Amino acid sequence: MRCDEIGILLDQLLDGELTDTQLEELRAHGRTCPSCAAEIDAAMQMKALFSEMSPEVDVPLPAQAAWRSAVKEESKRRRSRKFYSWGGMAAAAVVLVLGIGLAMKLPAVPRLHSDTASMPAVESAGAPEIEETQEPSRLAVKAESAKAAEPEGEASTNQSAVARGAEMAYDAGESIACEEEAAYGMADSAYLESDGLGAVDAAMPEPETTSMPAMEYAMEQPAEAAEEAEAFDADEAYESAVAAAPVHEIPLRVESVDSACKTILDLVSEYEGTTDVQRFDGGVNIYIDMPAGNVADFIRAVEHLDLSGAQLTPPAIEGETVSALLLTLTE
Amino acid sequence: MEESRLIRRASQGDADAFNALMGMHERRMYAVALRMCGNPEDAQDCLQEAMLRVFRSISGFKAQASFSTWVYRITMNTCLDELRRRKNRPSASLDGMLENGWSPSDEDDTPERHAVRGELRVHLQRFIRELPEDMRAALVLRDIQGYSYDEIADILDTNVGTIKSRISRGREKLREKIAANAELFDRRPV
Repeated sequence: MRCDEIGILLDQLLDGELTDTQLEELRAHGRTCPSCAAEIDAAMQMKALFSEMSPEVDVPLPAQAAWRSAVKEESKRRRSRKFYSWGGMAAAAVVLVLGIGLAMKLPAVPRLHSDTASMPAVESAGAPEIEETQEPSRLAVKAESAKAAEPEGEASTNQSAVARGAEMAYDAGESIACEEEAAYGMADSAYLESDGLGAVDAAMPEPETTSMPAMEYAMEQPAEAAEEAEAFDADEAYESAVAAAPVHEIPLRVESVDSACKTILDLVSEYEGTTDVQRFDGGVNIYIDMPAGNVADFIRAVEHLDLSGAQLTPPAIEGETVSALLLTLTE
Repeated sequence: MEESRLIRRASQGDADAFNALMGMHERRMYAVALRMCGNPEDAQDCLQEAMLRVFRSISGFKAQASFSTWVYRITMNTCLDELRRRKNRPSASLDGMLENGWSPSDEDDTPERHAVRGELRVHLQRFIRELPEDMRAALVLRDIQGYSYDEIADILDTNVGTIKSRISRGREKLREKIAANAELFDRRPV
């Protein structure tokens, strides 16, 4: 064997493809050539060290928390951006809810208008009378005020159903974030409160913002970190919550299953839903996942299609972020 | 919940579905980032950025493709982008790298044996970090993450021949460095 031939064999060695014969040839060559012996030895060491390096590495708990909350923040930011791009009606709805928070106890509109110059849209939306339940602050706008408005009936307009859905989604996200915080049980939960769940910047954080260098943390609590990582599983909690979430069944008798199915599938994508279609003898099951905030509008749109002539009741979707619907079409 | 259902819901902006889905991939993603960046701080930054990039583009993921390959492509690209951005960053101290995040703890190890092997791995990791990025990417995916040549070509969006060449040259460079630093590697495990 020549010295310039051993490179190929060493690649085969690392790929686990070296035969015993070839291995012996390598060793024999190494006995005659010291510099190749050093290379062969190095390759053996590399192979051994690589085999000790696992393809998976535990992520330090603060880093686990950091990316999860960054994603949640991004998701919330995206939701609120969406509202303002939906156009006047939806924007008015959000503004209406904000207005409730900012200026309680106002029966009519003019005062709202004078309080905040940015609220002219509220006038045209026709603000209903809402009972004061909160301190007038932007933060009070959260589901509390929307929920208080709900029983009034007038609040169940197209606009506020949309806003309500988003408020609930926001709240659902927040409550899960709180569960995560509790599940951690970390002594230093102050980390989560100050940096982790509140103000994580979606852009790359500077290393200095990490309150507890991951290195030191791992060094201090090696065994506990592993156990806590097992105990902490908000992901599991989410999965079982969704498994328990109801599928809202909506039966529809139609004239033509095929044409109705096609129309409904088009409509679902307009409302940002996704579908699974299953045919059976005599009809079709359409499984739909759709952002909860869009469900009521989607149902109303299906009603307007007048496929079945029947009135449809929007399902109760409190607390859901994404709703599961089952439309069954039969002729 | 099966992966495709979680992907669907994550595509609709459901952050909890996304977090549940990516919880199954984070340890591999972190392993890649750690080996590419060479230190935990940068690796954690890359992990977070990669997660956000996946979240932002998951609605464009085609169901027929391999989700895992797609995720590791994003992870690798994130690391490569960051490395190019931080070209002149001083490398982390040796002490800083000696921690138990590099490999799973071996119950049969004595602390002494573990420490010695750990140090050797740190040296090797330092050499890996000194490789040119494209070579480093291919070698890490093959020799540590265990992907096939075809999978690596897919992840790095190039052909198998190029991958084989990069890995071969990368391994050669590592052998040279190990041989040149024989005194570090002369210590045999206790």
